[in-house]
Amino acid sequence: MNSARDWIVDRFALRPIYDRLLDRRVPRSPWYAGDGAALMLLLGVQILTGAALSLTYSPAADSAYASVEHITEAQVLGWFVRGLHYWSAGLMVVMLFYHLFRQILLAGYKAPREGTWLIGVLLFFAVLLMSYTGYLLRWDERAVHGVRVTLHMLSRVPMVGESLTLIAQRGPELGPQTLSQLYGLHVVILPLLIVGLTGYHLYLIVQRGTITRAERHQPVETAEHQRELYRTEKTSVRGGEHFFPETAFKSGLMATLVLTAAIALTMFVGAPRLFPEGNLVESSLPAEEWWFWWFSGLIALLPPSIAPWFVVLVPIVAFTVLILLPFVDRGPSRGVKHRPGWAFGVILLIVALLALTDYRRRSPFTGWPDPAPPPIPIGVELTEAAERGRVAFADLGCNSCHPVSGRGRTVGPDLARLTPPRSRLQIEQYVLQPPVEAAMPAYAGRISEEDLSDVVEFCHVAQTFPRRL
Amino acid sequence: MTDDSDRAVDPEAKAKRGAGVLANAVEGVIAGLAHDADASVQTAVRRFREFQADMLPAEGRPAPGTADGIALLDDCLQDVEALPRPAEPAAQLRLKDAVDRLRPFLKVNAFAAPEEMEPGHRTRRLLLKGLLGLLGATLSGVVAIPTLVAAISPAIRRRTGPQWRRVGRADAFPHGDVTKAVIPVGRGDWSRSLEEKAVYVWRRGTGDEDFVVYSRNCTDLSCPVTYDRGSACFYCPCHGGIFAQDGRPLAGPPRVPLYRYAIRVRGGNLELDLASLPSVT
Repeated sequence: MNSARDWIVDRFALRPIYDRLLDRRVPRSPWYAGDGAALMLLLGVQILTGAALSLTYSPAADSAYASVEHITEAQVLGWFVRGLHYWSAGLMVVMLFYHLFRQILLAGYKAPREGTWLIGVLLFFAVLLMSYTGYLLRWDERAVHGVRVTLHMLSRVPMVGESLTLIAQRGPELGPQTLSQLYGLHVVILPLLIVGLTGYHLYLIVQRGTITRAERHQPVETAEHQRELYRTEKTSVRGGEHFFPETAFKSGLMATLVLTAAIALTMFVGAPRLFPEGNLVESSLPAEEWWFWWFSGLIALLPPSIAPWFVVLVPIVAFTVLILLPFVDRGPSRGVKHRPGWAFGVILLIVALLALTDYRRRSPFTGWPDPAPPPIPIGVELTEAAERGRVAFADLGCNSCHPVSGRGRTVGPDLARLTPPRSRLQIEQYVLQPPVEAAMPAYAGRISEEDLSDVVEFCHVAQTFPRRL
Repeated sequence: MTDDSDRAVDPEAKAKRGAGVLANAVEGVIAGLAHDADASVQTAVRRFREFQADMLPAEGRPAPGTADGIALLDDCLQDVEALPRPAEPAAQLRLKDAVDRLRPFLKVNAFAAPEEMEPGHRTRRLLLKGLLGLLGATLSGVVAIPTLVAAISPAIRRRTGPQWRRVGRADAFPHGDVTKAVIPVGRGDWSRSLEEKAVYVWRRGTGDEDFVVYSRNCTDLSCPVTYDRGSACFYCPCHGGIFAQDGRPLAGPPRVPLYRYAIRVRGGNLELDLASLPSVT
């Protein structure tokens, strides 16, 4: 038995792998530093579930949507594979930000780990691109309109915008060739790139290590100084441990937690809902995946004068800043305690991301037609005119922008919250000819006498409604 | 540079001297480690003994020139560095010193074999390196350039001239109102999906040819706007863009009015030129 084991170890040259990768001393690290391991595990899950999906998925635009439907509804355990692919993609984006922010907090990019950082930055954008191309492959309305938004952003790039758009669209019009290209990117090009870069990232981590406790607690002047500290720490009884099994167990634990969350979400929330099949005809209210909501929230918040440039600038600036970070921030201090400004910045960034995400979730800036008239408070009896006005309120599209008692779209002012209350005459004049600065269409000349007096009646009485229903 | 010229002067003496220092240092490591009887220390010592037996020259014989020796030494050193440090301060110092003296052997190949130093060798190496680089560049160019060109081909072969498409019977559009119309995209290629797209037709005033055909794309980021007859406004689903019936932006990020296609009325049919707007609008 033993001799067979020795034979395998020798002939497959396993000893150096064990010695150099697994049985090496490394500085002790806490369990919450297992974000890298979690990303690795999720990457593995993505490759496995992605491979399974590719066995059934059809990358032709006239059948892509139907094949996704088939996977979700008809294929045995298809819902699980697709759900897990989706949720572990989402958690991968979350862990990616955690990974990035933790390294920024601790200054994990400082000497001699600049190479590791640079490869990591490339990986960050490759994975974001992956998560983006992934939801496009469903080829539902959300996907088709998502592609169009991206193409529009590309067209804003100075000089080469039009060429970039033609390449990304693979022709002068959006069509099936666009999907073919997205499929090639998502299934061949980006995975190869990500797997290759991840391998190199890991090689550099084995060679240069990750930031340690000793480095965080004292100024580190040079790469040589860091090496000295690192060596002392990993060889000490207290500061060091063996990568296998100590470190591997702790980071594996965190990875398992994250994957458990992905599986739980798959079981209890399920595969993502499909919108109607992609088309350029139907009216639709599409939205991006939740991990990009912050970006949309940001666009909506910006003053219109800079928004068009901003959408192009954000990714370019983010990429440039991340690439330059290790060359700009070269001070000797590492860790959170000695760099409080960075911690403050990262916390601010996280709060901003969450706030923008919530802003987009609520989308108070979006107006949209709604055939249903606004609800009235329980116990309130409207006069006949006011009731007709309530119906006209929807027919005339007032509720496309105006809420009543906190219900409905919130672009315009809530009619139950007007201060000071307006008289019937004031309302009538406003409806017929709003002031120039108001983003409201004038109804003069296209509204009947009856409709006008009914709507004015309803708006007038709505001012007495509670602020919230 | 200095190492090269040293070796060129007297390679054999250099190798002998190197072997002597190496032997000393190895003894130092072993002595430094010997105070701890831990099993992993014993393994390290055993491996260093093996290295000694394998790689160091016997009396009167030059050191064997092999990269294996360097790799083995590297291995041994990594082992030693990974060990917990010896308890005794004297042993610690000795070990550190020995390891420091061993490290240069990893950088300079002290075992360099005599045949590698023959005259003309360096020129040949230089020539081979250059040829190899040239070969690699040619081969990758032959494959990479056509691949790249094919990848960006949509930007090279562009559509030219107007692309007229029928929107509908001109007299079928009601006066003073905005109507959605569906036009055939007709790419004229193999594709068989997304073959139709919607546009908005506004027949303003009372004139028979007084048409405006809007692209359905929001001028901010091309999200599909929807027309609300009640408020006579176009609503964008994405970031809050709202446009008036005449295309003016009323709210949200858009600063530009809704895009209008070039149109004409031919034989009672309203037609638009698909190529009159950039592909994303």
